[in-house]
Amino acid sequence: MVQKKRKLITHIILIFLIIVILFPVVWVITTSIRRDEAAFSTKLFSSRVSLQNYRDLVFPEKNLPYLIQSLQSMIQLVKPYDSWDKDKLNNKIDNYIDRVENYLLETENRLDEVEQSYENIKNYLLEHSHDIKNQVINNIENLINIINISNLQPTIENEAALYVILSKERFNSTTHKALKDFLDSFTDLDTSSRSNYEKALEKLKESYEKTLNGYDKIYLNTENELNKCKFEINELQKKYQVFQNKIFEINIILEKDITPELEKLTESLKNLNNLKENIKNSSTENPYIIDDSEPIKNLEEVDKLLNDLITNLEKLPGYDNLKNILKIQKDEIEKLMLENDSLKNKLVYSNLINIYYSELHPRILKIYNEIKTNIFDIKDIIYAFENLNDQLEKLKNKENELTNKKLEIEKKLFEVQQLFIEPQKVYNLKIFKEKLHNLITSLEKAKSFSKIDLIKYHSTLKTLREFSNSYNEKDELQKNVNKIIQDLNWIEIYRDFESKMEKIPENLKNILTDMEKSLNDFKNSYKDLLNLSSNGIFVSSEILNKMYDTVKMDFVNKVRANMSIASRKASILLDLIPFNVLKSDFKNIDKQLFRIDQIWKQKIKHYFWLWVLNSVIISLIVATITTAVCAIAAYPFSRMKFFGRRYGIIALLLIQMFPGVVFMIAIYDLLNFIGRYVSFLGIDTLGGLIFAYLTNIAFNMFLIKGFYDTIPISLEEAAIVDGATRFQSFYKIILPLSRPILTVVFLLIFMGTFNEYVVARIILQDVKHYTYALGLQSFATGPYETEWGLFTAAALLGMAPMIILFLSLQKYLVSGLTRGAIKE
Amino acid sequence: MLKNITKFFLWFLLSIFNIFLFWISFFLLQNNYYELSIVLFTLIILIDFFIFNPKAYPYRYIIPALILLFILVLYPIYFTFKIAFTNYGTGHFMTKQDAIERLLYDPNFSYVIDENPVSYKVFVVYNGLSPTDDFVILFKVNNELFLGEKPIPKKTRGQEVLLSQFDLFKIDNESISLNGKNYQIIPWENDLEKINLIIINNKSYKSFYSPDNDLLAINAPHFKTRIAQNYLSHAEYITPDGSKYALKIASDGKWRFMKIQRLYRLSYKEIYENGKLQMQLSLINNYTNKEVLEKDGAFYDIDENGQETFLMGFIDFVGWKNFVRIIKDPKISGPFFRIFIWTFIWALLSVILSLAVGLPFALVLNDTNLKGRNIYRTLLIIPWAIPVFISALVWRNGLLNESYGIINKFLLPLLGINSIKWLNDPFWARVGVLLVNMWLTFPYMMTISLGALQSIPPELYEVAAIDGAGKIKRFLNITFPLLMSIIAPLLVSSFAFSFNNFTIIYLITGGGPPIPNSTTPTGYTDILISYVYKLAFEGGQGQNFGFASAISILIFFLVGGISILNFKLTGTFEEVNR
Repeated sequence: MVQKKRKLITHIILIFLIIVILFPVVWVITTSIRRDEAAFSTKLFSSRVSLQNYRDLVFPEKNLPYLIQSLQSMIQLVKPYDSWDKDKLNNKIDNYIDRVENYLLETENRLDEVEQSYENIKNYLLEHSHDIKNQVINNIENLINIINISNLQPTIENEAALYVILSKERFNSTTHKALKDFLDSFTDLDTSSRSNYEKALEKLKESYEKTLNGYDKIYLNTENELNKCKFEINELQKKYQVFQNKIFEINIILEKDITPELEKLTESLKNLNNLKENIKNSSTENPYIIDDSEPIKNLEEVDKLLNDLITNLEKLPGYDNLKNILKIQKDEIEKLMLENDSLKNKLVYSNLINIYYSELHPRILKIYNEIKTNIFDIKDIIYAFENLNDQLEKLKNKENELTNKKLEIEKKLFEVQQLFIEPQKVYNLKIFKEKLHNLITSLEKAKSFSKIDLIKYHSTLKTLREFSNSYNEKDELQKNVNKIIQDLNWIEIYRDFESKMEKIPENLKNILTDMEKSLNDFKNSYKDLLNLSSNGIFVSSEILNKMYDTVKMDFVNKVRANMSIASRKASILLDLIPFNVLKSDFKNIDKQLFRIDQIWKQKIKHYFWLWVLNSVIISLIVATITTAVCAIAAYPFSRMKFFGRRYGIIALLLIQMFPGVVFMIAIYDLLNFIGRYVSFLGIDTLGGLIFAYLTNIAFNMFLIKGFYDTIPISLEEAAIVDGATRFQSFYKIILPLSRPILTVVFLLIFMGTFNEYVVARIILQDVKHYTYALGLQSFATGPYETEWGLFTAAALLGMAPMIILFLSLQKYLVSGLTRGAIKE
Repeated sequence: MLKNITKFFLWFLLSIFNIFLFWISFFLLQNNYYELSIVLFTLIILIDFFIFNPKAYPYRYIIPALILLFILVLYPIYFTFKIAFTNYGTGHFMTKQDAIERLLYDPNFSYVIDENPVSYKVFVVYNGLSPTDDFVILFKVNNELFLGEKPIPKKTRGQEVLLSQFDLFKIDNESISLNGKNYQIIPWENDLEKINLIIINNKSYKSFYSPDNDLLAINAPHFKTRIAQNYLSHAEYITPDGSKYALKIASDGKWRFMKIQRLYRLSYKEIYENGKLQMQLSLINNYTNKEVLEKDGAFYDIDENGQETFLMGFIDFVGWKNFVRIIKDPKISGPFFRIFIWTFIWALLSVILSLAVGLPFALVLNDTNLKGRNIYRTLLIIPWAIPVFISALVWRNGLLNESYGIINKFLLPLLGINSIKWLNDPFWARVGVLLVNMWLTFPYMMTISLGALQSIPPELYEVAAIDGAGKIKRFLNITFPLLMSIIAPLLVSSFAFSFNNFTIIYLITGGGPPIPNSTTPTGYTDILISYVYKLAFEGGQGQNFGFASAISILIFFLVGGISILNFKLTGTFEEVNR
């Protein structure tokens, strides 16, 4: 029993894992048959299935845009039509015109069918509009019956809750009507008159205020205060910022501008004092006594200024550097003032006085005044700054207090409001019921299935949805509401569908008549154009240009978007609509619209068949040559003894271990060189690629040799005795006998070459020379990155035969790959 | 009788074959493909030896394989080694010989002697209303008329024409005969503008283009795109007195023929080397009369101020420079070692992860009592059976795509995870490629494990069961060691394969996201082989074959080492000997 259970679990796990592992394959398959743009879809899978991707890939249809473009190329006589003779061209053009005509006709017919089906649907729905209406009304009535409204006692809480709802409502509104019973019974008033209603509300307000205990007012007040406080803080912070910037500026001036200058000045003053020392020893005397009263007076003045500065600076914190420098300067200046009398008769003294008076004094004055203004500024600012800081501190404290208070009150308010929840639920139910009643009356007026009626259904659905979203309990009611919403959903989608469908026929018909007119004009004019063109004058048909524009612009803008929405809605309605009879009509609309789109849509140009053909040709030739070469070369390794047999094969196997990419530079260079003389073996040619692929010899030779080894030698010996040469015995006995292994090797090489990507990437450049692998990559990159339909279809077409081949060759593959490792 | 005919026929074939190969080998020699020429020459000798020597009979079977091996495997190996020591790559594509030839002959390397252009007029054959490429040009030089036809290629490199020339002949009469052709000028005037038609052997050339004729200006585009670019861009017309004329763009913007002279000439210079006087070839600039400088595998012109201008690069031997760069250049070595280490991590994790997924499946499917095990096995093999490039593209495009991919759009939101940058985040890109590779290779691991498990004798388990060993103990002590001893060589070769698994990396991430601050195209998921590919074949920063070859050689030795190890493990050496 346990064993069986375990087996079952193993199976389940295995199946689950296989589903997960094979998901990419499943994705490829399902995406390849999707009709919508899978990359932009919000669904993983789609029920709208078609083989269109495969059709586009395998038998690309020459649809309208293609035909028009080709006609233009024929008129212009560009490749490949430049070499065609006139009759052939004329025939082709006639043929293409016929085809365009047919497509236009087909579009018209299909449009008729669409209209027919649409008409059917409309008529049917009109006939059954009564049923639909009754159904919906019935459902809603059932719903009303389910709604169970409990009775509420006139407690304070209930009254307060009622006030919360009604305070926002006007007299005689739906809500009032719905809650009139409660209101009347709570207040003992008949509120069918406005004055009574207002009185009743007054009464309710009293109980509301009682329950709230004034919390709401306190709450509002605190909030106001808090906001004011925050505003003030903000203002102060702005000011604070301004001051900070100013201080910063002044500091920079003091430090970067003034301090260096001061240092220079100090230096000069020191030098001046040194000079003064030296004067004492100088012997050259002046004939008269030098008058130094003026400079000394100035010096005293400066000294005073400096004193002032220093005392002011001392009051400020910081600026130690500046303070030091000024102090030194003060010393120097005082030194300069001392004992000047003994020097008054020396010649050099006049020099000193001159230097000071004309050079240093103005500078000293200037810089001291600068320092003075800056210091005064900064003093004021710092004072204001400190003031500001205090204010900010206070305000922030206040803010904190207020916030705490607010939180507390909020908590209390919340507690009170909890009391309202229960009664409010009852009131909401009552309101909902009233609304449903209203809906029924409005729906009953609906007589047909017109746009106006659809709006009624829409508003019904809206009311139900709103209720379903706000109603949090999962009971019978919720279930029923959801069910009705689901049942009504199709009407909503039908509304979208209808609005799009109304626009399509008219627009499309306009475009069709345009196209038909243009086509007729073209029919009459193309022969002349073609004659002109064949005389070597470049002509292009304006009519065709216009037609192409119609297809590319008018159709896309006016019809295509509406069509794709209508088509999608039709496919959804197919599943949702409760009338089975209509399904075929919706299906038809979806089908016809899709086909019309296919006729008019510009499709991706590709060379799928060419790519597959290239791949198959390359793989076949490579497989044939390699198998032949290997089959011959393997023979002596199996049957004969010769020098180099052992090391030869080891060397071969070793060399084969290296991936082709390593040698690609050499091969590329070689092909480039050969291509200059032998054009079919160059870069970007299939021949060159085949040549580059012929490297896979050693491994396959080894595989074939292994098989030869198993064929008994006696067979050959018998043949040789009968007079066969060695080659004949190989050719006539060994080769036929080893057909199985040769087939396997052939298929292996075929698969390997078909699946090769790198070398092809390097050698091939032209899109038309691409192999399947490169082509598939071009489907998956660049502008086609999101065109998953074509890509997956191409991928599936490529991988299906490969998987089948692989699985059927599995036995050989595995034994080949594991050969040598597992010994019997 | 029949035998003789066949024999004769075979002899005939052989001689043709010999002659053909000899011819190719000489041809290659002429085109400076010395090595390939030697390879072919050796091949001829070997083949002839095999055929004429009865003792070498077994080798006759190997001849076709030998040809392919020599040309497609041995020569490329040699070539790769050679290139690794050169600067071959963007800007250095030509051999030195070619570069010199180009400098000497290409009309682009010429200078105008006489700024005054000669007047000319082009005449073409019309096909209906449309002009063809068949043209002649009438020149007026020093008041004399000269006729030039389509220039004849003189120097070519493959299909590319380096220089084409035509010797002009003088027209002094209304109709002249020359070399069996009749030339007739209508009307016969000494004024180019008035001549309207030239008839050569009944073919009429109508006046088509002249830079000074406004009426013919309409034909300028055709003249420039189809005639000038295809035939005249490398052409010179030579008057009987030996002056050369080529098409240049004149100062007024029109295309005119001017008298030119070669910019470079070959000359010998004498240098002392080892005390001996030696002659050495050098290029001289005719215009400045200075020698062309040869430096770092390129030619440079030097002007009066000693300024060097780059002329043309050529393939030059650079010694170990490419290898030294890997270690010494900090902008290369940093990213390179990152790639180097990631290559090993990638190969190792690929093997371990796929074994980790494949082995459990093998263990489950090894149970002979399990119903439908063949179906399960077949289904599980499918990822292996799908061509790798298809799987890689499907994963990249449909599943890992950052904005549309299934994983980011459906799976991750289901699990409540934010979308992952599979292609642009270094870590997740690596996880992504490992994930895909695991998906691709686990069936292989499962299959070989299954094979190996079946070869373990069941008696071992019976004995162990009697000894009371539990399931886990049996797995750890019997199954796993035995299994590993059997599949170890396959794991090694699987490692070597992953080491060079270019397709997956290239198709899924393209090596990206790129590593910043690198002078070479590097990415976080790049492995060595994709790095080589990018260096050699992806533009952007230019191709660098030399450096790519150097790294190829590195890969060569790494993989070679792994392979020899593997042969030792599998006993291939003994098997061959059997």
